[in-house]
Amino acid sequence: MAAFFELQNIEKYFGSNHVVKNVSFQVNCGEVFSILGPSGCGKTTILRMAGGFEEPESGSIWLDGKEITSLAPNKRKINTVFQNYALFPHMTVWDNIAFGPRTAGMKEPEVSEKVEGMLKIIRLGEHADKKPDMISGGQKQRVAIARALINNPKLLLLDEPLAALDLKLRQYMLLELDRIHDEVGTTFIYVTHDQGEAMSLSDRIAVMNNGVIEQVGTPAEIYETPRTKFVASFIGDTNFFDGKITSLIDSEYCKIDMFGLGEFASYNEHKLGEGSPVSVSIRPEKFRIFDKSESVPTELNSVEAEILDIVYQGAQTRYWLRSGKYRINVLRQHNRCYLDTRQPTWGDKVRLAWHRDDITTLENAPR
Amino acid sequence: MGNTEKYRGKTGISEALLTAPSFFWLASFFVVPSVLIFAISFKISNSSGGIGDIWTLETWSGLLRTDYLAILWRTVWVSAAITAICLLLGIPVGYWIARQRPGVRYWYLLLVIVPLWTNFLIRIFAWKIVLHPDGFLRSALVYSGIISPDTFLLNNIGSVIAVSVYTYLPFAILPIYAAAEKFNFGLIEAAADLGASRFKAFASIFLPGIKRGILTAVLIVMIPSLGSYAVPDLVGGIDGEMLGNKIAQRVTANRNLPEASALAAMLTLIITLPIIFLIAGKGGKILLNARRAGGDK
Repeated sequence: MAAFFELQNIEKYFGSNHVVKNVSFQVNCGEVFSILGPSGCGKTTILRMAGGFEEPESGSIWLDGKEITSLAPNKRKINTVFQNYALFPHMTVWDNIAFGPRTAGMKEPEVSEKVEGMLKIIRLGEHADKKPDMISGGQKQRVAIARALINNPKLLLLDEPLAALDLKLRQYMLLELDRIHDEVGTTFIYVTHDQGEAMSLSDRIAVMNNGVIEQVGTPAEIYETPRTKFVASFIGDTNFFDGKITSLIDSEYCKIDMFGLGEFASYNEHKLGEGSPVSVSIRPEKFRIFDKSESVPTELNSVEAEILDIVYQGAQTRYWLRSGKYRINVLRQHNRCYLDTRQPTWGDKVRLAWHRDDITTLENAPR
Repeated sequence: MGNTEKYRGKTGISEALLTAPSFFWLASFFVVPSVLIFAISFKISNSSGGIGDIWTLETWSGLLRTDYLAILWRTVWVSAAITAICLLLGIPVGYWIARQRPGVRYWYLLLVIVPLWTNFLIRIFAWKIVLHPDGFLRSALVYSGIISPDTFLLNNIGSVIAVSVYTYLPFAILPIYAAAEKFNFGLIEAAADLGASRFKAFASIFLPGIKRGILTAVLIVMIPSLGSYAVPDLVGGIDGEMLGNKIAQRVTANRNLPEASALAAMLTLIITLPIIFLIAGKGGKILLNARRAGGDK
């Protein structure tokens, strides 16, 4: 089945700058799809090509079974919420929202009805007669969304829509966006550099770096089974250990020599062969810290480590440990039963343990 | 905020001191002469070409002659035409320059300003050569059949409009460019995104966005056009005469200072009354904004 919205082998250059490199992905109808990556990775360029403001050098863009690669922006059933809102300053909130339907030649009573409906959804009825410079950033944001959604687009593009808002407002608008999406059911493509926004809003995320899509998956897939070193480090915190596969145990597990720490049984998701240089990624919360007096369960891998630093963060405590040449970041959730036992403290020699399934083994491609 | 409150007393005095020179200048070289002109227009002229002692309304009622009304009407519509053409040419040019890379914009602006480095009169005389009946331009147009052999390019209303547009165009482009340069062109993309054609986006988003610049351009072109003297005098002929020429004639050839004053006063009223009306009405805000667009922001 053809996808609802699809990019096929898109290439884009700005001068000699190769900004989008052979990008393909599919978006399903009704989905919130995020493009997540650091600034300058090409995500906004992809959005601008979807909106019709840039044309790719090669490749094609499809919406609902039709090719739209070279279609002008005003001819696509796609609307955009721009990063700086781009509200028309000489028009009231009401007229801004009504711009699309009026341009389409809709009759005034009908326009009126649609705008009122939209104002209800964004809950800004009492500000309808104000000019954009009279309302707050969060309100402008909602007007921009209403102005786009009123045209019943098949696809709504959002370019870093929350970047200009402060933290509290951002969290609130995130919930608002989620509510609006639930209410209208339009397919969203959401571009952001903020993993928190992407994780909490999206059905699926495409992680981008240097013009390449590194991985597409659900938030959990991206976090738990990152496919590349970049994805592992960009989404959440992690610890990387260099190593080499010394032998394969079976089709799923292998033994890895983590240089300086020893040899450990490890899950080998990507079926790397014997002798491959690898990076082992272990998330901070996957570790367990055992006191010297306790015995470590035999199914866990463990190394000796020394506690360097402890940062109490309320819901959790972050530990910095040294083992061999590595500084390891460990996160420990607080539970009532843990408080009864002795807490590790500065300078303690402990055993740091992890399960062989709780890691990601990535090929260490020479850069 | 607190600071301005604290220094308000001091600013009052220094503000008065700073304003005094320009206030004095305006009073002695603008207000007083204007009042004198208005006063003289109610006197009679004496036989030696001076100003008589008797007050009269006759000069003003004499302005209702049909030939004066015809010239007045011509002055107004020619100025309106010059302004309209300057906008028609100036808006696309201002738009275009504002869309160029910042580095090259200033070169194009320089090109706009370069003609102003040559003396105004010399440029008008150059136009006399270009438009001359035996000149290359007319010969070429007649030869190629675009105009008939009995059409002349010089000494008519057309040449007055053409040369005036040439003269005032830079003053129309500059404020329009200044406004266009501050315009957020992302709004044009937003309009296109919402379904607007290029023309619709230009007309309903760009033009309102630079309205201050347009208003400034209208004032800067319209006011000197209404008072034109040199251009119609040199390239206008009999058909191209405007109010400014009539005033000059009354002062020099006829030596009737009261009548010249009455014409000048009428011109002043034509220019200032709409502006006073604008300020009194809700247009006052627009005008203040126009001033802001022209200068600081």
